[in-house]
Amino acid sequence: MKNFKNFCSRHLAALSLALVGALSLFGIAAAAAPVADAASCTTVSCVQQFGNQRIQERLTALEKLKTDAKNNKALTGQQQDIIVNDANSNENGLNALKKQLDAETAIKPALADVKNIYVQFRIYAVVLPRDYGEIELFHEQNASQRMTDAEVTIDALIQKDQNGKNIGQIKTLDQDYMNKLNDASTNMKGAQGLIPSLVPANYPGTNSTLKTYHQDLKTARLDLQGAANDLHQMTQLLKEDLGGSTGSSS
Amino acid sequence: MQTISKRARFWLPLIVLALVVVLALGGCARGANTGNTSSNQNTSTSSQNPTSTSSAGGSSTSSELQHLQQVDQQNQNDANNLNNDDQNANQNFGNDQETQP
Repeated sequence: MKNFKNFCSRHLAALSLALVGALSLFGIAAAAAPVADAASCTTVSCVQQFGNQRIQERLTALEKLKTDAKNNKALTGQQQDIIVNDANSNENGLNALKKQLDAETAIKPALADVKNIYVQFRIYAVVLPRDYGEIELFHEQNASQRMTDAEVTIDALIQKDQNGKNIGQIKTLDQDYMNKLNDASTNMKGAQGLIPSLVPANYPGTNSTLKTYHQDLKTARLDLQGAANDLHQMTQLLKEDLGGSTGSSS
Repeated sequence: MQTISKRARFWLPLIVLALVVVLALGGCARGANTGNTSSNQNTSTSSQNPTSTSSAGGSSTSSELQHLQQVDQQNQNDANNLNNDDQNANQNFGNDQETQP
């Protein structure tokens, strides 16, 4: 009985010691957590270093946007300039903010400057998705224009192919071609109409607008690729019907 | 009978003369037409289009087919680039959550 009491008291002591240890560790961790969540920078230079890193990341991304726009051969020079000018405008703004941040001497205005990197610019959340979308939009508009212009040639060839063996199929494809180009045009106009609202001031509402914007661009792209497929088939069939007679006459 | 033959003697040369005049005028008119044709040939240098249109009527079909083939080729070259542009537009650009330093 005595042994049992000793056994219990020893274990209870060990258990309570372990409990105290665990609680104290938990307390330390709990106390440390708010310190980590709160501003860890206690000096202006620390805030400046943090802000400059965030600015540099964004400047690098904007430079890449400019390179991508300039290297995109599907865009006209004017279209490339629109993207490059927008990137330059954001770069200028960020560089001005960096200058302001570097000149701060108190921590509170330095923290406000850092906040403005997000609030005023929203490079990742708004500018880049909008501008890369605009590159896609320009590309789609150019492809659409090319195929719309080709409609005159298709019509002329259809007129000459009235007795051709593939004329029925060609006419069906031509109708589908025009429908797809019309649908692509509607979706491109929809995407274009959303661009003015894709500005940092409208964040976070821009998130849902961007979803619609990208969906419109995607639908337009699929329509254009469908139209391109129709045109490919029409070209083959028209060549089959008219290609032989053309060869003999020329 | 003698008076009739006298009349015939009078009218016959006139009829022959009239025929000669008509034939001569007809010949002039034809000659004039020929002249016109040659002058048309001069202007035909500038108006070769109708001629070339008819021969180009055939080559026009081939040039139209060629144009369509070019558009088709451009579309095919474009397809992958358009997909790349779409991927770029939908990429994850980074975190824009406000974080305090």
